[in-house]
Order: sequence, then C-alpha cells, then structure tokens
Amino acid sequence: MSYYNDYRKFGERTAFLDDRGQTVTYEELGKLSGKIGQGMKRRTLAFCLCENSVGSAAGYVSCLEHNVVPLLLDRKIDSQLLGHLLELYQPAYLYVPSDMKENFSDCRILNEDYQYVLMRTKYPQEIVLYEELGLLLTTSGSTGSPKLVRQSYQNIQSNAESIACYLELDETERPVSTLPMNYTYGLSVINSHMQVGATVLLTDATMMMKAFWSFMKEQRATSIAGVPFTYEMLKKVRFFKMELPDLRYMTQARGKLSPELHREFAEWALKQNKKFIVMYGQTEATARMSYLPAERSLEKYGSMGIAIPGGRFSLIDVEGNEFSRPEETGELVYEGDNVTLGYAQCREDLAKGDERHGRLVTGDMAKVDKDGFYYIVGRKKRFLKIFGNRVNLDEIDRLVKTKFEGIDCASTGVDDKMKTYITDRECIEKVRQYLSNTTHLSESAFEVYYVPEIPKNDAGKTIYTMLEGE
Amino acid sequence: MEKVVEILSSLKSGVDFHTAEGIVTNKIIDSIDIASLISMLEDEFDVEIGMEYMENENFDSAAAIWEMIEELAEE
Repeated sequence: MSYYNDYRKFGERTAFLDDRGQTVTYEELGKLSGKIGQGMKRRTLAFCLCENSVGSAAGYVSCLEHNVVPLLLDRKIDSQLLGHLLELYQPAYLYVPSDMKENFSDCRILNEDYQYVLMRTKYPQEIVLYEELGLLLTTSGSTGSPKLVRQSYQNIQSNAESIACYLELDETERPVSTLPMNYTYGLSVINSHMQVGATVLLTDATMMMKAFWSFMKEQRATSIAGVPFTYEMLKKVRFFKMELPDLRYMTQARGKLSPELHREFAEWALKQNKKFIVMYGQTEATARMSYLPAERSLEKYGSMGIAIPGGRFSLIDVEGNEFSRPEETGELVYEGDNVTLGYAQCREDLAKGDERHGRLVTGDMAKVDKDGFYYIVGRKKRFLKIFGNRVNLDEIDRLVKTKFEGIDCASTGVDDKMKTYITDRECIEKVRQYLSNTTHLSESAFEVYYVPEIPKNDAGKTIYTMLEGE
Repeated sequence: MEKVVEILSSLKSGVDFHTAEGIVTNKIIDSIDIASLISMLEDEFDVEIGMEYMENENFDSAAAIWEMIEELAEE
C-alpha cells in the first residue's frame, strides 16, 4: 500500500511541524487531508503554490490521497509565468497560501485551513488524465517552461521506499526542510520520511541566518539535505565548528559537489560519527537514482555512487550500445520503477501513457570504476544547474529574445555561472536584471556580454564553442 | 558606509541601497546573495562575521550592516 493511503497508522506521532508553531500528527493530517479532499472531484487537476509549511504539505498529501493530480509550483513564481501555465493546463483547483488569495479573485473559496486556501477556478473539472498519473513537476521551474514531468503513483511510492531503505530511515528521524517542496529533491524528503512515520520539520528560513539554526537545534533535527551551493554556504557559516549533537546524516544532490568539498564534508562526518551521503537524481526519475554509501564516502569522494535499491545503471556508446569497460565514458542509462512516464507540454498530454517503460537515458556522461562506482564527467543536454535549479539554456535564449525584440542571444556557461551573449550593448544590464527577476535566482549567477553577432554555422545553428572563446 | 552600498549594488542592481530598508526581511536579496555578501564584507573589512550576528536586523539596510561592521572592528 502507498504511504499516502496508509499514514494514519502512525496515529499520534507528529507528521509535520513548521517554524510558525503549527504541527499536525498523522491522525490530524488524515482529518485535514479529508477536509481538503472533500472539496475536490477525483481525477482532476490542481495547481499548488508551495512553501515549506504544514498547510502546503497537507495539500500535497491530500491530492495524492484523493487521486487529484497536483502540479507543484513555487509560491514565488513570476505571475506572468503562472498565468501562462494556468491558461495552458487549465486546472480545476488552486491551492495557495491564504495571503495570496486576493490575487485570484475570480476563483471560489472551498476550504481554508492552516493558512492555505483551496479554490475552484473558472476552468472545467473534466479532463482526460492517464489513470496512473499522480503528480506533475516542472523540468525548469525557474524559467516557467510549460514542459512538465509526469510522475505515476508507482514512481512516487517506489522511490519513497527505496530512499527509506538505503538511508535506513525510521520513525525517530526529524529531517529539516532545506529545499523547497516543489523541487523533486525537497519533495523526496517528505515522501521518504512519511513512509516510515517520521516527523518532517518545515521552514523557509535561509541557512545563512541564525533563525534557521535556532529552529534546527530547538527541534532537534536529525538530517539536512542540500545542493552543492548549500554545502558551500555551510562552510561559510562555519558549520564545522557547530555543535549539532542530534544531527545524524546529511545528503547532497542536484549537481556535482566539488571533489574537495566532498572530501571535506566526508572527513568531518566520519570524525563526528555522522553520515554524509552524496546522491544523484533527476525529476525524470522521480527523485533519486544513486547514492554513495556513507562508509565509502571518503574512499570514493567525487563519485555519485551506486544505483539505489531496485534500480540499475548502464553506460551506452554513441550508437546506443551498452558497454561495461571500467573508466570509459558513455551516456548514463538508468532502469527502475521510479523512471517517470514522460513529459507533458500541454493539457492534452496529460492523457498520455507510459512512454519510457522504466528506462531513462539521462543525458549525463559518466564512467564507472572497477568497483562499480559511477562518476559523472559531463552533460550532453543544454542546461545548467544554478544553485541547484535546473535552467534550460535554450529556454533562457527564447525568453530573452521574446522580451527584447530585435536582439539575438545565446547562453552558455558552467553550473552556478551562466554567460549570456547578446547583440545589443545597451541592454546588458537590463538583460541581467530580467534573467534574475524572471528566474528568481541571484544576479550573481548571470553574466551578460555584448557580441556584434551570434556565430552560427551554415545550417543556422549557434556555434557555442566560438562564444566561449570571446 | 559607501563601500557597503557599493558591495550591495554589485549583488543586486536597480535598488537604491542608500535608502532601502528590509532588504533581507523583504527578500530584496536572497540567501545566495547573503552568502556572497558575507564573504565580500569579511574580505573588505577584515572581520569575521560569526553566527551570533546572522540576524535579519543586522542585514536589513546598508546602515545596519555598517553598524555591525563597526562593532566587529572594535572587537
């Protein structure tokens, strides 16, 4: 049975606790979920504007439990991008923080609890949804791309079980939310810990501020999850000097941690009798595909580890043939029950069935060592991870060209540092601000340069290597 | 204080940091900016900003940051 249909068995144990002082036990969550769910018709579509709070998490659980398919979005999503998604997918319901309800005055309020409000939109309830479709997440939330990942109920459950298994989770765990729940990694923390009846601590406070650490210490958090930049920040706030007796383990995913930082945290964890676990995943695989067991973290630093329980990795050459020669680079392929159904680009695509059949060609280039541990060495697709957020470079170029008429644009760069080349010198600062405002990512991640012309080949394709030499 | 304003402006353009209030509370700068800001302040003013100073009120305006820097410099 899936965890979201079976969690009431944990009764009086606390399910969620947030930094506003709100808590719900598993039993209370069941009642709250029922209250939210009774306002919604089964097999319909809902948009949830998420934050890390009890109300937000309860809405997500209620959708799963009542067979309503939620699209999870950041509550801070740009209003124009949200408007575009609303028009394209036409959800029957909106589930939003109470302080945002005035923004949706054309919707009818159905329920309000725990500072969240469920609303009926003007769009029809009737929609053709694939029967196994359980959840929608964005591929690149920051650019508001309409491309969504379609996750099945089986995907969610199998990944939750697998993560709970390899992290050896039990009901005494108290993870603190260090990532937004609309990101697959943040959501996987909720799913895997609800699977075992643990208590999830919810906050949107930044790790850079004392308030986060006070909440973490007062609530005796046992784990934190972070992207590479999180670990860079942790080092800045002198994490290694902190007294955190309740902390048991830390996980890292959503981008490759520098081998030096990996080694530093692995060394610290071993000395402190804690676990540091590097993982690898994608939204297309629900969340996690690999983990590096804590006991091998120092010996194998720089590695993304081995496949999670129930999963399998292989490498393919340019012709798509599988090979198993150590230390040779190929494209990484993953097989498992957590491989998602496919993408959706519009409302009609939500009727599509399973297009992947449990096999995901990841777009990441990797190699495997003689002991079977995998290492990411590059990326085939045109996207960057900016502070853990996947940003599609083609989507960025499209946004800039649409906003700034008449200029040509091409983006490239490395993780955490995007370089955008434009053909109008006057627009450099405006484009930088626009990229930061639209993606809700720090301006420090964007560099904009002027070039007289974007270099292209005879077929009209941009020659990015020439730009990088500019 | 002018140097603090200069550092803030390098992180976020289009904001008058001479007068801006609530720059952390109102999320004018985010956690990534704060991380960069701390590094830049420590390098520029040769101070170490400990966890006890990581309160919104110490970062909510250029004047508040400057006051914190002066206090740290005296220690």
